[in-house]
Amino acid sequence: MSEHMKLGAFLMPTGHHIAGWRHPRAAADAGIDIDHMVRLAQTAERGLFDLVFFEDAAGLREGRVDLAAQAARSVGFEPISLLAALAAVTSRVGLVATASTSYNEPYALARAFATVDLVSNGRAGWNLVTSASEIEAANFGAQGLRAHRDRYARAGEFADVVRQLWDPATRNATVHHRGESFAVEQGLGFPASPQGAPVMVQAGASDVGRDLAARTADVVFVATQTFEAAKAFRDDLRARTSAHGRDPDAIKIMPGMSPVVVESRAEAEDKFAELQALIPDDVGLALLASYLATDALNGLPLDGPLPDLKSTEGMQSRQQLVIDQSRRDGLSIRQVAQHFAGARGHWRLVGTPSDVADQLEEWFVGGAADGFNVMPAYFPDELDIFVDRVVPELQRRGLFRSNYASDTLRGNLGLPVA
Amino acid sequence: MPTDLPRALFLSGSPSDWPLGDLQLVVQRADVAGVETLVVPDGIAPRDGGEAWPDALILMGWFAPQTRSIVLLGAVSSLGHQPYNLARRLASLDLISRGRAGWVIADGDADAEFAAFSGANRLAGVDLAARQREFETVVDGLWDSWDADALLFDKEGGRFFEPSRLHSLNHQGEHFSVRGPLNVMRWQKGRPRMTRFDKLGPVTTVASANAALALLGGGA
Ligand SMILES: Cc1cc2nc3c(=O)[nH]c(=O)nc-3n(C[C@H](O)[C@H](O)[C@H](O)COP(=O)(O)O)c2cc1C
Repeated sequence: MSEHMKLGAFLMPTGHHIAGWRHPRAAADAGIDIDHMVRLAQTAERGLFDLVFFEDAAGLREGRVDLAAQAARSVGFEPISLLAALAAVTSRVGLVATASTSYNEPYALARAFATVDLVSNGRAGWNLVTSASEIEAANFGAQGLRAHRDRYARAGEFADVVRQLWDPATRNATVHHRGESFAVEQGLGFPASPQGAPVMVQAGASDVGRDLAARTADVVFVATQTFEAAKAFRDDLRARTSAHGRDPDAIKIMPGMSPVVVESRAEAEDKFAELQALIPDDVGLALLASYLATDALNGLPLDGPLPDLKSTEGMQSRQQLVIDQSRRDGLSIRQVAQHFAGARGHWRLVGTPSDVADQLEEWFVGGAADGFNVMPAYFPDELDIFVDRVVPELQRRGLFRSNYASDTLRGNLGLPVA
Repeated sequence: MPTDLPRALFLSGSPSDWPLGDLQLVVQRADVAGVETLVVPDGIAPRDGGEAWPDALILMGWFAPQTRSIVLLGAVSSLGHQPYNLARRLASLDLISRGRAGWVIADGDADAEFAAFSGANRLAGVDLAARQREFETVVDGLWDSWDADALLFDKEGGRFFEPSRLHSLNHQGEHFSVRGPLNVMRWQKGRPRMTRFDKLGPVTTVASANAALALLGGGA
């Protein structure tokens, strides 16, 4: 593989570990502190990351307020306006955020991201999600969460409208769309950025989710825990992309990876255990139950095995990943919950900079990944450590760039101008 | 500094008279000069195609770190938005600008907005004035989701916020059903401004970046 690996900095205000905010060195007030978010984006840019990424939910993440109150996930910034602010204080790093196809109009969303793209000189990207939570649904009507299949049908139509509106060839022309969910007779009417159109990102992992990504996405984020699973996912997505008549190299697969970087292996267990000890049992359990979309764990012994669960209308793939892991490693409910609290099912890597580089190299060279979405346990330290210790190691091995190749996100990702 | 410095500036006119670099310069100069308020238009393209302004609220996010004291208002119509999302974006802009963001409730070009925002599917037969009133009530309520002292950041005790200081809205109305609460904290004790054009006081409309720069005494 001749190209360099791609790196994304997956930023959550206080960190990816559910108890990361409690770490003595974590910035607990990150979700209300714009200076902190600016610093994280500038750190990622110093590390030559392709992009920073902000996930999103239009609602609380946890239904029980007493449990939500013990974690830092209930406040943060609305990500698209945040990207615009970051565009003013960075110049090269890509700016990617999630927005929902279930609770927006395609014209409004296309216009918001195209504006970020314009003011950032071609660095914007949109992570398309269908929004799997009941809590969000309750902020947008009384009908409840739509079925998985219906959400993706709407998402497919939504993506088509957005792509037409973004098409640089017809930016001043009127788009004519009349479909099941949307009716648009309008054009954006302001100039495209140097990258033509924002980058399309997706993280759906179900069958319909993968197909939509294969048809429309430039970048795919995914949660996988083993080389084999990551390789199988990438092979599958590339095959589906070819089947849609697209060049499989035009889609970049970036698994999430939560690093705990230590100077010596002796420290590794301690550093990780320090974070794990900060997770209250019921907070960890609630997080797990929310991703499994189940209340079937209530009242079960925490030291017993995970029960059989029925398929969910929420995130089907993440549920399967958790079940597979618990069976594979023979984990109890408490152990599954504790593990899940660390990085919500993403790949967790504990080791020295050279251990971490070894693993990333193996996945990258072995064809399991085009790059990685780095998910630090808490901020800002863990991002600094990755930039200062792991990035140079990757550069030394010729696996990562030493300078930005381009001013645009498409350029850095090695994607053609739209 | 010119003696007749406008108190509030409303950016207006054709988008092609506002190249992005000049727009940026106008905003920075207005801030430095001491203009109190900037009103950013949100004109979407006319129904039959043509030029439009970029998204006003997103431009405000871009302006915020480049300015220090000017109040940033977006003249935005509610038709293409859901109250939860608009309340959230404005609350976030208020954090990003340290309490300088707000919404000038605009009527917009209803024809163009219908054509852009699936009006045929969503808005046909809807009483738009009633929808607008309810929309404002919801936004207003969501901005009171968090008490100013709700966040504790108590690492030792594992208490991030005080549950009794977070309030759900539980709004169920004719046009919207919104449980809340908002997942964006308020800026200190405040909340974003919500106002209308006729409540703004004297506003100077500038029709091009060149006109604005001449007014601000900087020259292009
Ligand atoms: C790295 C990553 C980031 C994600 N970010 C979000 C997000 O911000 N908001 C959201 O609702 N879902 C998010 N998801 C969930 C996916 O969009 C998707 O729903 C999930 O992977 C399950 O796949 P499915 O929708 O095909 O069932 C994310 C998933 C991954 C792997």
